[in-house]
Amino acid sequence: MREASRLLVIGIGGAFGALSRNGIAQLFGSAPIELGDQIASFPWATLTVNVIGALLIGILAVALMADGDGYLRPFLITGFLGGFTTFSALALEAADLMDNNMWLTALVYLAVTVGAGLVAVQFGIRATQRMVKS
Amino acid sequence: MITIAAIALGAFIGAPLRALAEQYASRTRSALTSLLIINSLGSLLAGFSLGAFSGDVQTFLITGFAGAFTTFSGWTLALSMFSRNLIESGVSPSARFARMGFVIVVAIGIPVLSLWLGWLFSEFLFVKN
Repeated sequence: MREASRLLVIGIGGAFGALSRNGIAQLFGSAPIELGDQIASFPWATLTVNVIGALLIGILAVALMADGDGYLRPFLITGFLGGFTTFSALALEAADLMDNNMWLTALVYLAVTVGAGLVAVQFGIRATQRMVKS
Repeated sequence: MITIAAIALGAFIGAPLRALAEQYASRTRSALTSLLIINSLGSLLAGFSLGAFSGDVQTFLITGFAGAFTTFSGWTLALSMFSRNLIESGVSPSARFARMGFVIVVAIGIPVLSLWLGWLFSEFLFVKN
């Protein structure tokens, strides 16, 4: 029963996360992707979502260390942030850029996402560790 | 309204399934390998759905399910742990750089390839005359 309620909490968090990701995509006015349609633009929405998500997971991984077996970690980290950030859209958008022969843009998109994501998660971890200590 | 419900429902299924897959895979594999498998499977499905479905069904599968099944934030966290373990085990900076580079290229390359494969497979199945 405990396992079932944990999965339920993850599902609810994931739904909120995906809806927030979609909301940000709407805000950026992102068009749905098609492969083979000669249309591709730089995926700012997904880049923003993934970098913010990386920053938040760094913060929460440290801040919720004391939560142990509670529901906050499954809800916020595995559920919300897992559903908010996405790897499949990253792959999809990179493929769409490559499909339009924008290879350099695709490489830049992937490199910037990974670079900024790693800096964000490290910043989140260290800043929170400092706050927890003081 | 239906689109919003499709995204929420897809993620409501996708996120717990990722948790289960992670739990299962991490018994025998590292966190990074588990996430590589998850992200590749999700990308394969997204690529296939792109060619095989349209409208709200596509949104349900791509934005909802595959979007929430795969994760970027969890991957950056796992990569941070991997990097810290390398530092703590005293690996030389150049070897650390090479291993991080390899892990990153594989973690991105295989999902992108999977996406293409999924899409090509859907194109093969549904040849547009």
